[in-house]
Amino acid sequence: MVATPSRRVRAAVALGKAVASLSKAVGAGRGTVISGTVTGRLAPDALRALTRDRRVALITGTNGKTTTTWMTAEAVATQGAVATSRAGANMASGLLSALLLAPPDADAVLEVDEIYLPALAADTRPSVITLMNLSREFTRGVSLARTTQAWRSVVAGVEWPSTIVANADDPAVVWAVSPRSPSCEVVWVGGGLTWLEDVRRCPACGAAAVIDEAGWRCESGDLRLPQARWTVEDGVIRGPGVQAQLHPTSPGGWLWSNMLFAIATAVQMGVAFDDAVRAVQAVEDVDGRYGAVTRGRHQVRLFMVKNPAGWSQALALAGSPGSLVLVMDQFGVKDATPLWDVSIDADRLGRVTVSGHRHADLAARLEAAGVDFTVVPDPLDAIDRAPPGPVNVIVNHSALHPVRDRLSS
Amino acid sequence: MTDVVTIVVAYPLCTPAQGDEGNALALTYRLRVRGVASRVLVVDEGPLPHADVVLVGGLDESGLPRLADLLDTGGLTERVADGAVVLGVNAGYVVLGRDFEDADGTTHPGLDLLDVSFRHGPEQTGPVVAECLLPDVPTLSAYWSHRAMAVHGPTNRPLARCTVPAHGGTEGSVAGRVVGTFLHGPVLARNPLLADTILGWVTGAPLSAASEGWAGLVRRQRIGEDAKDPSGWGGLVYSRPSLRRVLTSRRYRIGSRR
Repeated sequence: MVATPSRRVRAAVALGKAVASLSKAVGAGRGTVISGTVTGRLAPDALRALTRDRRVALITGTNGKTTTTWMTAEAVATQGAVATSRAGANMASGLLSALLLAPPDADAVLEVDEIYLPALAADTRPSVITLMNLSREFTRGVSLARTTQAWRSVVAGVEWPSTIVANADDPAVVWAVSPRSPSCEVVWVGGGLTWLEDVRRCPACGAAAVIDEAGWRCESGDLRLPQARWTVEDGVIRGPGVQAQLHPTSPGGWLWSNMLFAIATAVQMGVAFDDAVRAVQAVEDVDGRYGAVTRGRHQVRLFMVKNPAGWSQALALAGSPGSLVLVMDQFGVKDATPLWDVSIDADRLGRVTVSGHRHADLAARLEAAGVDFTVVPDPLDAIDRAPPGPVNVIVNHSALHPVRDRLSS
Repeated sequence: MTDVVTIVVAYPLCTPAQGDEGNALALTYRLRVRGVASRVLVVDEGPLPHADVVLVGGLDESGLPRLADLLDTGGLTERVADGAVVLGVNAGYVVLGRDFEDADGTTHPGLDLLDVSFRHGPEQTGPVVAECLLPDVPTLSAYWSHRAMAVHGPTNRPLARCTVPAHGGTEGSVAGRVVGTFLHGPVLARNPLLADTILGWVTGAPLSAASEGWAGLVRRQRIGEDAKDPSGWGGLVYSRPSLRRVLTSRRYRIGSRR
């Protein structure tokens, strides 16, 4: 351990920055990954060196981490410069890039891929770790069991003073946060539980769980959901001694949870509650998602989904005003598999349009559910053919940027 | 068979999910097309109820000995003797054999419904295209994500022969009304006529002809793509998100440079 970064780290950082500028200059990208890749290859201890003198918050979860990181970064930015990875670059190279491009003493608010949490927490020694939710994922090839185990190892082994901001409503998170190292404390957030299929059994003992209006409970009683210190109900967010009314700028019920985690995390990073509320409230667009784009007689918003829980939440957009368009592009062999894990209620979904390279996969799933749907392979055509008014477009990971780029051009 | 076909999803939380519970949806849909009612029961513990079809799935990454134990004490062998059709996918396939080896080399007994032993091996992932050896089932489209290596016994009858991957050899195992396979997708959603064949065993006669619907287009599309690009990413452009973004951005399309 040295007080200042080694020459090797400083050289690697300089080269990484140069590559980021080059990447931007030639239009290859925003430099959010490549600069970190270069620096990380040249100086494997760069992440440790670049986070030694800052406060770091790591934010992770199966769903909502990019949005929550963005909102948290906006809130922390009310205090000064922030190092953050806005575009969902959430592995070592993405984190390094975010740190390289910010002043050396700026607080860092970083999104972290769930399975990389142990390695990245060890390197960045975060003062806040935000654990949002845990549910099944197919496309990344990492099972829920492995991810949960990874989180448990972090929480049990933290060797520096830190606060875990954790979802009190998600039994898988509650279990992941016990037992915990004496050097960490937990701030419980009522972040909600929307995907129930992985917690029909208690994660701790395997006994049957009861899920009703009162919430989740284990029949054997060994895993109890804690009382949340931060909650949101009917748009009113409440924390220790504080409360405020929130007004979301976009449909999407999960955004309440994202805002709650962002505010709780920001307050933990020293931001005043009122400042955090104002900053989070002002976020209208997250990497091309949520923000309304006017196209002809339509107000178009994009929502991205990756896994069964995400699909399940996003399909509830059918209850919001406007039309619903589903767009899926190729994303590996498992791209359409999550659709078959989601229960679809044809009456609640109503009429939808399916689109994208994988429109046939969407159509096959909706056909099996008895849903009334229209097929328009080109996403922009699908939007244009919707009745005038709001159009909510659910896209998978690979469709997000192509659709966003075409919408904004 | 009673008027309502009972489909039991057996102990799905025991092993990591991989979408195989969707096979129940696929069967329900193929029955509904013929006006046949069905119900799906998800069983997480205790004995297996009377069933026309038992589905067992998930990744063979963890939970196999417990899954085998639950199926054994839950009465799977008795359900098979009563005439139930069984589809085991990946973890569900591995526990239906004579025995299986876990990651640390310990061998556990299986349900002994298929003449296959399983050894622990390197991860096998990627798209699969296979010619089904059951009559009236067209080329299968699916994907692999497993570690077990099947060692076939002398009486084993394979389900299919792989064309993608080229080294794939035979796939799965069929013994009477018990089918085991590594194919995910969910396999019955991706291959509706395989679902129909299995349901024909339940109803005692082949089902009336019905179009594959949109799933048929999906199946043919994937077979075409996977034969050309066995990575399963449907072409180079989609192999890496960062590369895809560069190659598909307007700026990089030849002739449209601003």
